[in-house]
Amino acid sequence: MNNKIRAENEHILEGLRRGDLRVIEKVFSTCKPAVIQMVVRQGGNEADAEDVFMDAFEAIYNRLQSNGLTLDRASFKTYFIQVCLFQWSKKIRKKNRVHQVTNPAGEVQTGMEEVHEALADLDRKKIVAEKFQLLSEGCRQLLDWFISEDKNISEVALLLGISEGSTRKRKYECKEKLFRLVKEDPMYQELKFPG
Amino acid sequence: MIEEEWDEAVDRFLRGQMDPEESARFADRLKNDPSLQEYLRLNQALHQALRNSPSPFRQTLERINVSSDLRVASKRGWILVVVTAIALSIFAFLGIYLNRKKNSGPEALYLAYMKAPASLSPDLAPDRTGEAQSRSISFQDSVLMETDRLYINGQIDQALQLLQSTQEDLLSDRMLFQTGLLLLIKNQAGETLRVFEKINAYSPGEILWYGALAHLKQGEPSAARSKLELIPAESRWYSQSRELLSRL
Repeated sequence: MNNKIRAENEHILEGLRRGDLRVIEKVFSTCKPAVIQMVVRQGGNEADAEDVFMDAFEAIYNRLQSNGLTLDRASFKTYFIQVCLFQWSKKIRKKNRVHQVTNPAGEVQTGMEEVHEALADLDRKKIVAEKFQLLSEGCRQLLDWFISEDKNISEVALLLGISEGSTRKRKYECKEKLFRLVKEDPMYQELKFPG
Repeated sequence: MIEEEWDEAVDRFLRGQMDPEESARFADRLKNDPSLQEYLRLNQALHQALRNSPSPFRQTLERINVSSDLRVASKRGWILVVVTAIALSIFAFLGIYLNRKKNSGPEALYLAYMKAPASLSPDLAPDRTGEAQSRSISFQDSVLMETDRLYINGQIDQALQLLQSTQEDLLSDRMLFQTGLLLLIKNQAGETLRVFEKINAYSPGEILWYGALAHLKQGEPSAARSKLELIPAESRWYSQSRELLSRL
């Protein structure tokens, strides 16, 4: 990789780390059309491409903020498109289990290790949010009180008119039900946890 | 399956409610327990989904995405405006072209160039030159004068009837010309051409000009062209005949 690309990569990564809007907009203008083209060529539509683009961007940003990111093999744009292709391959497998996503460059996995977990976090969050809607209203309300409204056991017990022990048990059961639904989702099986 | 007590620990960990000692114990257990790791990740996902969805960075991305879409839409809007303007220009051009083409048809050209004269025999009118009164008036001139009077009064049919009722051997070429002209005014172009054929010697420019117009009225542009080309340069219709030729 030449020095010019290296310097440009550094500039972009540093800009993203700082949340520089000009850099974010630059990534939008340079990468989004290429991602749309790639996803559409692979059988997706513009909305699919947008989801993939946003997920990839958020995952790269999250990875940068948590553990940093090194780009020493390709330009940022190439890397970004590889992340999108990687994410799209998962998405298309969910949509159509037999569809094969082609990768002419054969580099989908290359360099994905760093951002894989960040992407998995986003996917996990999406699956959890999706399955949360399948819970009973009682469970949704109870978990909302605990998590969204940050209420403690005694406050929720008071609202429910039951003991704190029963409240704890009910919260645990609601979570178990939710996580069982999550684990049954085929997409979840693809999200490997680091050992 | 994670036990209920660990659910409580995970909640306290995610809320930052553990003291250092409990936190260390939890970290130890976490390191060696893959199912607890998974349970923690699922709880983290649940917290993120309920508390912080979408993330602030995602919200920034959404805002930029909307504004970039608006820019694209605006760009597309401009392209649409330009394409519409081009399409309108083409339609306008076609409209003008077709209208011009329509206006250059024989009938349209006839209507554009056929102008009925104000009078038929101004030289014979007694109140204009006064000469007619002072000289003896021939039969033909008296008919022409009456025809002119009727024509000026707008009595075209009567004027034509007067000329047509005149005995054939008494008809002068001028009377024949005026008969043909009145027939043309009455849109009887075929009759005009037949009458003009009988004329032996009368102003060639007049005969050719009105003859050409009669052909146009008949929808015969090539015959009209032939006549127009013969109009002599000294004729008062010469310049108009060239103009009409250019439009044919």
